[in-house]
Amino acid sequence: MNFNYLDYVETTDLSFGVKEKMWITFLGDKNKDIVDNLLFKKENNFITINYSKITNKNKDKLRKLIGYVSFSMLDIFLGERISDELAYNLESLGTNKKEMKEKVEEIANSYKIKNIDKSPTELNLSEKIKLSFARILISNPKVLVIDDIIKLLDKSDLKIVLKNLKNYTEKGGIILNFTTEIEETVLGDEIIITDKEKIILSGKTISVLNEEKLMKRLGYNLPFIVLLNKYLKDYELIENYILDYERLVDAIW
Amino acid sequence: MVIKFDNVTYKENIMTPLEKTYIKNLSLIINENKITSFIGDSESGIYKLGDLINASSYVTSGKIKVLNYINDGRTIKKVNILRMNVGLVKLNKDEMLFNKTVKDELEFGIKYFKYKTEKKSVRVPDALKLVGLTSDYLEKNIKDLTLSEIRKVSLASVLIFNPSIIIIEEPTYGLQNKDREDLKKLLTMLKTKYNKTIILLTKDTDFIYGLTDEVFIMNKGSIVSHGGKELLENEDLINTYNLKAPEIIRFINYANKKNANLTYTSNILDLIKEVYRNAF
Repeated sequence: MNFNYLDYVETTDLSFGVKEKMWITFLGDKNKDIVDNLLFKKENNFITINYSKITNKNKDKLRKLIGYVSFSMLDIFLGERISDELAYNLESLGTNKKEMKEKVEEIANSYKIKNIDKSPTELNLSEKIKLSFARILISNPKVLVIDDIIKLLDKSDLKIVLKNLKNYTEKGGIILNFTTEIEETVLGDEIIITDKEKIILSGKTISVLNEEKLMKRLGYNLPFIVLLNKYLKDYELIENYILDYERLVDAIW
Repeated sequence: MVIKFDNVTYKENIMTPLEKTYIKNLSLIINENKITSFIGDSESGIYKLGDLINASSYVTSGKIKVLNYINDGRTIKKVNILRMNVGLVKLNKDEMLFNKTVKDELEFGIKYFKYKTEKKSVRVPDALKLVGLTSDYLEKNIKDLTLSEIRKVSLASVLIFNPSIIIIEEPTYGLQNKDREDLKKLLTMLKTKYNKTIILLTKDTDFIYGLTDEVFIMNKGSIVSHGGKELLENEDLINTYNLKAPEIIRFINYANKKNANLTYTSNILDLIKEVYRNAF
């Protein structure tokens, strides 16, 4: 049985649907417009949830289910301490004190945020990005919109965030990752590439990445490990794609 | 030698509970006409180096010599000329762009600093052309630009003064692959044809591997290692400081553990040819 949780239709050949547990990578010059529309920055009839339209009157419905993480929001803090910052979302949903305290401790643990009593302004860039994921995902939104931020995480923080994002999708969350970093496509199940007001390519990650010629014409390389696999397969050194360096090396030598 | 750090320490919020030391007793020399990269994680202090070199921030102790200027904590005379000669492209667009249109932004510096240039009408579109944008971007509003366009306009706003030193924070953030290749070509051309000194402050080891002449690895405000691009081939060293080695190096290292005997290269086609020869 097929149903679309969230549907986005714009009048200029730009439409897609998302289902639960999906992670979609968006590439292309329409990224900014799509994000603005998802955040309902201007009036539009482009989005439906379970086939019911979102309009200006019920746009709060959309706002409640979408979480947004971006560079521009990194320095905007609503709490004096990190624990307040994390609790903010839960507080506005009317969660009781005991549950809030438990959830804040739980999420600080899973994101390895150490001193939650200090001010969030003291954090460095990567820690701030980690905090912005934690403070949004603590209230478990249905959809998470990531606006070109994963690349700036330190290596250790990236591991932690990816583990939590994987958890989030396994429990039914939807991730829409708008990015310019081609390597991030291997994290997701599907890719949507926009070019000049249209969706040019969309589909499962590996199938889209197989369209090497079209991608190249649009200005995209392949992620390194995929390109490597492609060449090795062309030279008949491997039979199938192996997207893990250790196993790939074992297959050749 | 064009930039010299002499036992520089840089702290912020001194004498308050929020005091933090970003750079500790740093001494180094950055050579002219080279591409030098500083790599490190968010706690390493690399993002403060640009501000110190172009005197947007003053040292807490020690001395920085840049061109003919000295930054030792005291006010610098004619600091505007220093800032025009040391172009800094920050990561945060709000620290770079604040005018309405692209044209206003590019012309702003010329008007404000009373920069004497023969043909303003040529400089401005030329700066855009260098970063790969056409003249029709002049009339566009900055708030309507995509992230990659914003980063290109930020770079153009610095190139317009023809600085002799160009510092870029996270040069590849927001740029697609084709734009990154163009940026590589631009930086190499600025170095060789126009004799500029380029400094990159980044975590992106893939981008700098085939490009940089010198590498400094920073950790908690100090230099922990310094050398050429072969530093990036030492995966254990890179991993110790919370950085990721270039993807091509990671593959080569895995392969060499199995005695594949591959040589380090930044070109994937050369790598594939070697794998083909060695695997048989």
